[in-house]
Amino acid sequence: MKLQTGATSVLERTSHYLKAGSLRERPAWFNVVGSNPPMTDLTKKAKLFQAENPRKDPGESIYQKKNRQYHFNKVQYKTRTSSVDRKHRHDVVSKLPKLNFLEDQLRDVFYHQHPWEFARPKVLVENEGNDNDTCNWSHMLQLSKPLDGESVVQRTLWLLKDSKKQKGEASQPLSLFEAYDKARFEFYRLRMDEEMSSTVSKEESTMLGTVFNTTHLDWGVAQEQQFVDVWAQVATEQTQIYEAQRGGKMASHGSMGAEEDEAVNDSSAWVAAEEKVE
Amino acid sequence: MFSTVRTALPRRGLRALHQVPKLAQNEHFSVNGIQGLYSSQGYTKSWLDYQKYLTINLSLQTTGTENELRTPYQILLHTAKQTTEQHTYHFASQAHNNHFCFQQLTDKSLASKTRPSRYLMERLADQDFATLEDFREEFLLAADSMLGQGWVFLVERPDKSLKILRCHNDGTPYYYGKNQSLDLNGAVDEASFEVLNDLKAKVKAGEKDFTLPILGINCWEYAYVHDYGVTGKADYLANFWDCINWDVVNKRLFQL
Amino acid sequence: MFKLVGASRLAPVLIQKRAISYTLPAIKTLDNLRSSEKEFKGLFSNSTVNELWYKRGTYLVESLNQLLEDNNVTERPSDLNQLIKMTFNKPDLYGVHSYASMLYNLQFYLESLKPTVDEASNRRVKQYGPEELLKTPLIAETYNNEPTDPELRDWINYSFGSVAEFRTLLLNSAKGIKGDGSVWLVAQASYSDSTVHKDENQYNTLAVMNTYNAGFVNDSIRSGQVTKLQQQKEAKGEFLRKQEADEGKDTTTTTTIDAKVTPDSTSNSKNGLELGSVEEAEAAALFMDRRIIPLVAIDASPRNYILDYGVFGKQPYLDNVWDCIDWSIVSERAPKRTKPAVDFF
Repeated sequence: MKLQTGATSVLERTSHYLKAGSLRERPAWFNVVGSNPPMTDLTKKAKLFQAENPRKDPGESIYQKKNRQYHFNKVQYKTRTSSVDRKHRHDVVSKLPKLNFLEDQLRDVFYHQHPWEFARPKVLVENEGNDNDTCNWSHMLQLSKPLDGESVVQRTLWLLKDSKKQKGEASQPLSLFEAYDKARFEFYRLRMDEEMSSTVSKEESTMLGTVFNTTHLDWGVAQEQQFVDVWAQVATEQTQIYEAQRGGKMASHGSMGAEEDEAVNDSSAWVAAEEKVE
Repeated sequence: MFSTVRTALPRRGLRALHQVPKLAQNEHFSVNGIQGLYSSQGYTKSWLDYQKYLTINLSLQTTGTENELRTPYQILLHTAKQTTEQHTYHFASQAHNNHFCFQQLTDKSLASKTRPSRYLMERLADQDFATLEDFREEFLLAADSMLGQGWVFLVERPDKSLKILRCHNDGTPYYYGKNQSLDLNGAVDEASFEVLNDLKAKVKAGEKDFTLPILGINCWEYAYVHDYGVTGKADYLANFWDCINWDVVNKRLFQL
Repeated sequence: MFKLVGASRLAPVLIQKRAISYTLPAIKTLDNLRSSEKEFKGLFSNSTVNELWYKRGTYLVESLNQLLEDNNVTERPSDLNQLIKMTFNKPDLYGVHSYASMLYNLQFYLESLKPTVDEASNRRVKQYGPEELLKTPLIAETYNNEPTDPELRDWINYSFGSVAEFRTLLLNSAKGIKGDGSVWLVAQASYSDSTVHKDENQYNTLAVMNTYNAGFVNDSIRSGQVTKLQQQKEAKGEFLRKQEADEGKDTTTTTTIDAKVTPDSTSNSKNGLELGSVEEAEAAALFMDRRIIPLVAIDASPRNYILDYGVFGKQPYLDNVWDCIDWSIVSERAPKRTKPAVDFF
């Protein structure tokens, strides 16, 4: 598809029309848009030709000396573009370059090392979209942001930058690994701190007569029990079928066997049991 | 009554931090202290600093969670039953209780002009406190004889009767399971054991609690060590009583 | 009149002296500081030492003596430890037990300390502001004032992994205490009292534990008192039921009485497939009558840091306490270590 630039060049085109006389009056928005041009250039550009190491525009290679000289004493020029030169298609030309950030690599490493950090819910709401600006990464804990993997990433970057600043002193600048490890261990220390605070608080209040209805452990066991009950029913049925398939000659045995004779159920036990759970 | 304890709610959907609520007489107190109770430095330590300590910790625990926009009062109710959130509960409950107690304080000269309302006195008489002096003795004795840190409240129960409630540490008057009126660190006598069993039964049955505090007194060392020293609790309590603004307390008691 | 409560405590005029009364124990380091009017280097100012030990200690001793008089306790062992153990299972002496225990804990804590020569910790004795709460913790592998005794170090390494890990655990537990309380380093016997002869207790691990308010650290004497009360209650119910049966009443009334007397009798009637509650498991396993010997105590109650470090200064206070722990005393207190014949780890 051709690059669509119409919308963003509306001001340019309109001023051409005015000059040429095909438009008599300035549109009402003309001055406003002129003095407040769009902040971002939305035009899709052929990034491949603008990147640091651009792919050459095939047109520029014409009438240049050829690299290889096939005949002695004869200067040869390129007069046509080759099929390889002309192979650029729009989708290649206008392909967005891959954005590479150090932060992303750090995030990747951190969350691969600590997959359970993903289990913590994260709030994406920000007041003005620049919440990171309010953070001061000279310390790990932030008032406006919970302690999580992102803290480790940002703190690592800060430590790197800070250690480079202090080059004049005897201290060596940190390597990326050292900075990451430092941030990581600070993170561990703070997590330990919080966990201990929570445990001690619970113990302390229990010693003063607090009564809890259920603990997370109890709740988890209760949840599991529901599914174990379902499973027991299904397993009974499956065993029954399995033994019937094995020829039926074998007498049923085991603890499940006694109930099998009565458990005649056409519909799947899973469906019935799951309804019960819900 | 909660509208006075509650700080202004931020707009929905916005992020926010917990802040130290502003007392009506804050400017006056920070310069002169609370006459008859605190020096200006004592006031700064026990209210401005300690409340700041609590709200910063509360922000650290709640930022990015469902509790971020809740008031300390709401947070303490939400976390009271969660076994892994007791540290968040601590900061919320303390922030609420501390605010509750500081709201009822004023200079001694002003406080002496206020009296408990007749309605409050009648209700106290129902509990066999014939005079205010009787009640004072009982209330302050409960506070003085409590070992360790804590709060003592005068609470109104759903049947409108009043009761003195002792809450150790960060106990709250709003939920019986977290009243923390027992001390199981020493020998447990049969009476405490019965109370504990009773609480267990109530918690298991999911019974609701409609108790509301009317008057509170802070027995944490943060409140008195600076001005009265480590052993100055009794003097502090006596002075605290003299600085209670009964107008505030009277309004807390629901009356048609 | 409320004031009288405090006054009567101080004026035991008419009561006859029947037995010894306790006095404030002498702690040499503190007495030296008091006479020379110097601060406790690296931890407390002189006035704070006065508040924490001389004023509060005296208050505790006086209250204890008064309560002993009031309760007509004639048997008064000279060892505070004995008094605590004696009064522990007597709920009517709750006050005596509490004050004795608080005094014991405070003395034990202050006796574990020595002034430090380290200038850095001395500089840390100051008032802190709110920014202290956001400070990033240290993550060093070695710290100041680590124990030097190789046997103690080895034992700590065996029990906690390393000295740095032990320090983190100890100080974090102390920091977690919100109200009154102490954190303890204790040596734990590997077997309960009932299984071995009392005089040959074998201590093979160190552990960190907390006590709150007037809690007493050697909880072998506690042995799950709530469970005991529960058992008593059940036994009472059983007795009542038997009595009813003997009187020839019909079975229906018996069952109703049973339900009334033991509200959680449901736990007994559970079928074999269901699990018990966590609480039941704790009650069954936690309070075996293990003997415990305390080695270090750190008092984490607010009064210790409010005066010199301010409301925000708990962490620097705890860092300083670490720097002031007298490890030679700890080594002295430590029992003989028993290494297990087979190490399962």
